[in-house]
Amino acid sequence: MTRPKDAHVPAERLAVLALAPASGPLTDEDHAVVEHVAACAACEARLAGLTRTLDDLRDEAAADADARFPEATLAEQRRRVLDRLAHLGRAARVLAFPAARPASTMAAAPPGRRWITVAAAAGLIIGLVVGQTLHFLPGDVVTRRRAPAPEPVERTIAPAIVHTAATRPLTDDELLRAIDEAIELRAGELRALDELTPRLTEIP
Amino acid sequence: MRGRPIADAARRDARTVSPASQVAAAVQALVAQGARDEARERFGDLVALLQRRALRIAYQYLRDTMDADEAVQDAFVKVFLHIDRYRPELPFDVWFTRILVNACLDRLKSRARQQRWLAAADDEHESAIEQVAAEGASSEQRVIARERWREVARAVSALPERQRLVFTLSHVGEQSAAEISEATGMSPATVRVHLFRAVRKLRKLLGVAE
Repeated sequence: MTRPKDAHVPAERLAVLALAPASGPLTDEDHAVVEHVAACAACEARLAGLTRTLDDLRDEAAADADARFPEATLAEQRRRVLDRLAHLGRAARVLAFPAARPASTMAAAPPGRRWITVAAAAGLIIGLVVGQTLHFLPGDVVTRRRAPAPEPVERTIAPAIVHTAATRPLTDDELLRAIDEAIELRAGELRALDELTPRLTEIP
Repeated sequence: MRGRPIADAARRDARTVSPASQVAAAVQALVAQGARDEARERFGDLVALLQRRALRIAYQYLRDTMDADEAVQDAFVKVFLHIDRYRPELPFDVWFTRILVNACLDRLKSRARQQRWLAAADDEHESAIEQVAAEGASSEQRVIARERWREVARAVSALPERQRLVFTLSHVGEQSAAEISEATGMSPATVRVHLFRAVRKLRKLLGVAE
């Protein structure tokens, strides 16, 4: 679409030419714009205003970047670039691998000892497997192979009582006496604890 | 470059030998002679000549001080590594800008991999910038211009990648459409289309009125 010869140049077209002037041979459209601006005071003024704005913005962009990269930073950057260049082509330093370790003791062991080790390991594994297998067998098979379990009541009282119960049942008097004896063994400690405990009457 | 008139469109002659081109040719010759240490020393001069502008472009494009610093370093190292490919009859600045743009793009890819937010504001040195800017602040216009630039910078960060690149190279890098074309590999027409679209999106902030 061509623009009428007397129409003003669109703002974007002016901005483009202000930002990036065509170097080398101009296109027909560029020629038309340049000619129009040269002959049109309004477009010339618009272009001048636009150029000022772009210049101001360029100055701010430069100031913004320069503030972030002061002279010291530039010097440091130069040093880093030259350092990187100095290391170009240099082979990387290769660290020596730690000295070779002595050969494996297993490999050095005599064949007889090796067989003993293997047999022990195999025995351990077989033991573990058999144990696990028995554990998971059905209940009646297991109970057939196990000794009958002692009475649970006898286990809960005291070792002395259990020992007695294994031979004959206790009378009530014997049971109470056994309890007294067991308590008497700990009485000293309990008394000491009792003395440390404050009495209600002692509390003001 | 201040107040560039349209009539000055062909202001830059690509065949003009810039100081950077001269130093680059000298470095290339030293490398060709095998005088690598001397070439490295001379290359330091080239870095000093170009690093300020390179950092402005990289920072404007990447909006991150660390990334900009690394991208510029990478670009210089690549230049030295491939200095034998430089053709002294061409402007060194354009060749360097192309390498710098690639380094910036690499940084962007790496940043995308790290799932970082591209448009994140870099507040790390905000206080230092305020201080430096305040030293030069002499008028109300300056304060307004600074605030305006911040808005533009935020808007530029949100532009599509190619528009951002072309706008940055033309505005901050002060490059012509032909130079941007050489640096980016786009045709001059494509460069102008991207620039046109970028300006259209930024028109309110740039004060572009009909």
